[in-house]
Amino acid sequence: MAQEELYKRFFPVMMPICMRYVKDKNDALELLNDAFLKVFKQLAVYDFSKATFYTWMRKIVINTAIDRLRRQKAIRHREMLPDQQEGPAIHNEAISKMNGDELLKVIRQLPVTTRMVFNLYGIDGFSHKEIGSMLEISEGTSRWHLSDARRQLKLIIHLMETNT
Amino acid sequence: MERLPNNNPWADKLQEVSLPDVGEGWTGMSALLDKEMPDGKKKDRRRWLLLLLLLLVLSGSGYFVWRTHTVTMRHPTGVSSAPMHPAAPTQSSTPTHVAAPTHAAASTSSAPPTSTTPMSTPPAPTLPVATPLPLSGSSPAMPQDASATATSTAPANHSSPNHSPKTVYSLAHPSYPAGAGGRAHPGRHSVPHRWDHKADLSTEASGSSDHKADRAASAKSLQQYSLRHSNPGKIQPLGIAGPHLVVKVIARSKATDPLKCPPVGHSKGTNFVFAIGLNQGIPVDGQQVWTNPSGGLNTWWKNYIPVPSIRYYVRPNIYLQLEARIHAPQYTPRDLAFIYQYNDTLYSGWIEIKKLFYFQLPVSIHYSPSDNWSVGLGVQYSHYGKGIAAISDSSVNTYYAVEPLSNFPMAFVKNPEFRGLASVDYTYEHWVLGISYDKAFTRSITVKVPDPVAMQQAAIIQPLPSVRNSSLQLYLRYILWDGRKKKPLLPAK
Repeated sequence: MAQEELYKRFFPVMMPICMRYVKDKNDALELLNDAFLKVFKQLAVYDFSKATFYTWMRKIVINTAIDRLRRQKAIRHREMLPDQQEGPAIHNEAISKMNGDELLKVIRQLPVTTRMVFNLYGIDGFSHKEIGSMLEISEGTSRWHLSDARRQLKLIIHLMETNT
Repeated sequence: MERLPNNNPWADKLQEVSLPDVGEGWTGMSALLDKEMPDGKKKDRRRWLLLLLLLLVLSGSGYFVWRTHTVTMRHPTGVSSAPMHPAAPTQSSTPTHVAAPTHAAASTSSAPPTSTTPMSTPPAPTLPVATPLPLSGSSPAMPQDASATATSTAPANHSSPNHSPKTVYSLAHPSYPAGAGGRAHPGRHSVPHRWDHKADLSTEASGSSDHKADRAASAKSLQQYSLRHSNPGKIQPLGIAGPHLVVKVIARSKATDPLKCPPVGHSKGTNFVFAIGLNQGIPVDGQQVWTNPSGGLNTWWKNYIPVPSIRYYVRPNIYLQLEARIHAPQYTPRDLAFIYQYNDTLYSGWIEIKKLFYFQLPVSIHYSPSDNWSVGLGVQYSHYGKGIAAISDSSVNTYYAVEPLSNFPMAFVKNPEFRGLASVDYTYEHWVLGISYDKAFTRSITVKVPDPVAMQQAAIIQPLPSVRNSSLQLYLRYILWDGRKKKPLLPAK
């Protein structure tokens, strides 16, 4: 009963996170449920003094997403010379014209690791160092993925604008 | 690691994506929960069955050990052989011929009635013979058949001029010598139940030194036997085939002789035993172990305050026990939560009760089926002390805290609370290791709006599930003081 209440309460805030990390809705639901299962199992060891419940839960969701992708061996361990430039910035004007679903559609066109790095850095606010340790890639590789993500996103958005 | 999402248009926009139905998600989630975290009831049922099975096994083994021990006590060396002596029925048919030593000495010239009259009682069945009594000088020559006894043995013994008191004594001394006070029980072997001290003394006076030695051995044997009996004066049917032999052991004064039978098992001490120990709760009935320090509300060492206990032995194998558990932690089920809506806002609080603390006084009566094991049943008085609750505000990403349960006036903990109690423990020297389970008779916590008039808009959106407190405790105790002076009842001491 309490589990259901907790689930329904946090569903609206956790589900968008899941949808950013996987390709479709069903995968996102599966990911969310896996994360909630971890939450229910580890609820007793949650230490409120370290983080708010939302932060703790979000971390579990993100880690679950990473584990899932790692199991699928989808993360590319590509070691290459990092491009110190993080890519061209994406104009906010273009983004403001799009709604959430359109943006999600754009993000989902990115390759897996690139999308992951973009989500972690650009939306969830992790540093390259943290991303490197989470994805078991070097910091430079993380920077490169971010740069690549921006380049590809700009291209995708430009194409969408052109088509419309 | 507190990390908030970047304040960028991407993050804001992506929070506004169209989501699937939450009901669809919960359907999958509940299926996953059923698979990964099965319902606590099934687990509880299994636990109950295991506990019941354990109790049955312990009781059965305890009973077996007890029975074995009792039979051993009833057949000490030299005791079981004599009552099975075939001469007993003969004596039963002729009460005047009580084979006390003095009688024997006086009747050497005249044949006893049994020697000339046929047996009036049916012949006794052939009985298994255990170790012969050491002083039964004529026992090896005694026939197992009662009829043979009537025609050959008894007359030979009593009419022989070489007959000594020892011989007669051995015939009539089935470790409980016959005397004038012997009773004939219809349908049973007639065995005297009282030692004829006068007759014995006279025999002693006229007996030889061998007799004295035998007498001393007999006294020792009887004393050993008596020491094993816990109920002096109680009629003890011996566990042998055929008609039962009834023996009554009567304590004698100190001034008589070594055959005195002290009231064994009856302690002249205080019968009190004091112990101190530690309890460790084990989650049961779907409970959670809340180890979070909770800002000092749940300091770990407070879970391990030593538990003093006192026992009073009513009988050697039955005792009453009282414990005092100060600040005893009470685990709560994982889903013990309720939702409360505040009166001044539309926000609601999700409040989960994490842990409770009680002062507990369990009183139980214990029975020891064997030396080391004891099982107990009792009642536990529990006085609620404090509780810990976790609250999550409806603005989900901002607030989650652990507070004392007293901060939530809508939660009412039943106080005092009574519980049923069952326990099993094992004692080795000064140490007692045991496990106990208790469960409350009534629901433990309820929630309601404390003052509906003042808090008109307040409401309990979701009530607490109906839960009765229960706990499984593993305990280890050390016996500090044993007030019993004689025959310590705790084994291996």
